[in-house]
Amino acid sequence: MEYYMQDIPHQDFLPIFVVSAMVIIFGMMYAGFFTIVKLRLVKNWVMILAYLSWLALVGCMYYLGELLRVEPYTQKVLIGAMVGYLIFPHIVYFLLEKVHNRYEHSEPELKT
Amino acid sequence: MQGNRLYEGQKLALKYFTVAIVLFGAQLLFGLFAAIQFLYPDFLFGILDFSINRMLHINALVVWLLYAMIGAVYWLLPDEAGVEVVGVKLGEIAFYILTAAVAVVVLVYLFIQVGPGEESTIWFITEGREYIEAPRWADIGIVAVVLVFLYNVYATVMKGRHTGILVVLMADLIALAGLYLAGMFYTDNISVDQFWWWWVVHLWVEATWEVYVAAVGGYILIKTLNANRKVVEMWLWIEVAMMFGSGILGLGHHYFWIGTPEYWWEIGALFSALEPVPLVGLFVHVLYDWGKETGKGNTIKNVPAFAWLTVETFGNFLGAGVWGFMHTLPQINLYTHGTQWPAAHGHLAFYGAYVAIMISAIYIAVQGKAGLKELKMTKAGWWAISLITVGVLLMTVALTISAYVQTMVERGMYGATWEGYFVAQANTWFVQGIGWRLVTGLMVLVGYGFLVYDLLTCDKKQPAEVYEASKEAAAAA
Repeated sequence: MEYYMQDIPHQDFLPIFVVSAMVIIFGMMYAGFFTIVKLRLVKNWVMILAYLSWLALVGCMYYLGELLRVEPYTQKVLIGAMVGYLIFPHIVYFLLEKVHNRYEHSEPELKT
Repeated sequence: MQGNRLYEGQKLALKYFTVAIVLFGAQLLFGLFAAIQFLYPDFLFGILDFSINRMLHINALVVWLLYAMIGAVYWLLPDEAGVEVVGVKLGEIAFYILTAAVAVVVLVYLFIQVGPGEESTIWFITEGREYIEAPRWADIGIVAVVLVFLYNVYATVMKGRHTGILVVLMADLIALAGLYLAGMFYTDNISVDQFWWWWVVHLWVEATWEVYVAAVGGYILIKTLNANRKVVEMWLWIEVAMMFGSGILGLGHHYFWIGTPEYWWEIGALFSALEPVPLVGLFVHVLYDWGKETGKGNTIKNVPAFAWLTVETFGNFLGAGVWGFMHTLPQINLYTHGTQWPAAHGHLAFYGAYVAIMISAIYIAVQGKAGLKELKMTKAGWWAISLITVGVLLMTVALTISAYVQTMVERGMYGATWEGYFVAQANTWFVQGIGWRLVTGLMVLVGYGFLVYDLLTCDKKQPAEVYEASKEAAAAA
């Protein structure tokens, strides 16, 4: 536990707040760009921005881990979470498309 | 709704919405008093102390949101189930009992501000638990009223259609109501008391309320965008899984420093980090449905409701997601808890996650009550949404500046000492942040004035084509 919770110099507070915010913002940008490309609202090359956002997310998460001085076990969990987040929109979109295609041409019985 | 005729349940919903909007005004007023007292501590001292103002500010928020939530369920319940609300008369009696109880509790708060803390205090004055201070007699009354509400929901769904939205709501409301019981018993061990108290506070706002919002949000998407129900319900199940999956054990981030075992650090850190994922999901959900439906040429059937839903998705993401994650991990939370960080996060998160969607639901009811096929945004409506949203955003920024000063000076430089506390409180940047919070609070109050005006008049200020289209639709029906 001593390893888990080390003192953080107050000079690191600002980078921690900023990088934490960027983790969430890049996470949203990845999912957002991914969705609008899949919906064909923008051109396909925008997908590059989605994956760049994911890379930026990984970078921010790595830097945040360094700033917070996380222990090796948590580092591994963070890497796993980043890989999971890379795959996650693909799975969700796959499921949604299957549902959408199945009901695209049939009027739902409860459309209000 | 049947044509322009409302179900009795929907008429009851309008009563709940009316009280909700009145209490929303009370919340803003008491918040404004408290904001003034931060700068001028003598203001209303001995008449309406800061502790009472703050309590009323937060209690009014919780209660008006609960009123609006119950109202929204009574509005959508007959619409979704396709039958009148079972036990609607009972629901009406419960509404009047609840409203009378709320009025008595507030009067007691106002007239008995100081006194001894005895057994009778818990029963008749206040239980003293932050955010849920209602005395025990009121607690028991609330439980009775909620049981009536649950009966009405369950009996109605059993009788009518079982849509995905209703099934999720049924499960969620049981959890939401049941968790309230965890905040009803007294213990003189502060760690044990806080342990159970967080079950109510956290598991409401970061689990059951979020699921509630996802379900009502799905209904609003169907009503405003004519979104495909199957897709909406598919999203709903994904969001419910993610919200409960991350939100329940996210409880751990409240157990870092209250005397609970240290393993909560790791549990809290891991699940708190996952909590923003469903918020991203909610954001993408709205984006997905908007993209699919507008791509098909569907127009937005209720522009104010959809605009407020959009505010909800961004506000929830920013307030709960970004501002939450900035200070939720234990390593940094050690320095931020008890400062203005939670206030900054709380203001934007509550506004984004709950206030905006409840206003959206009220606009759906306004459209339904007027029997209009579409509802366009009026000028007052734009002023309301702009002033309130920009006001809350700027308030969050102002509070964040003050919070940063506290974290750096009080916690970082002075090591959480009393001296550090007073040095931070006197810091120019801290004081300016608190000053701007007052200014932005006034901005929100003006926006609230526009909102009330718009809710009362927007159905009479629509373009001519809206009335013509509504007449044609009514004739065709």
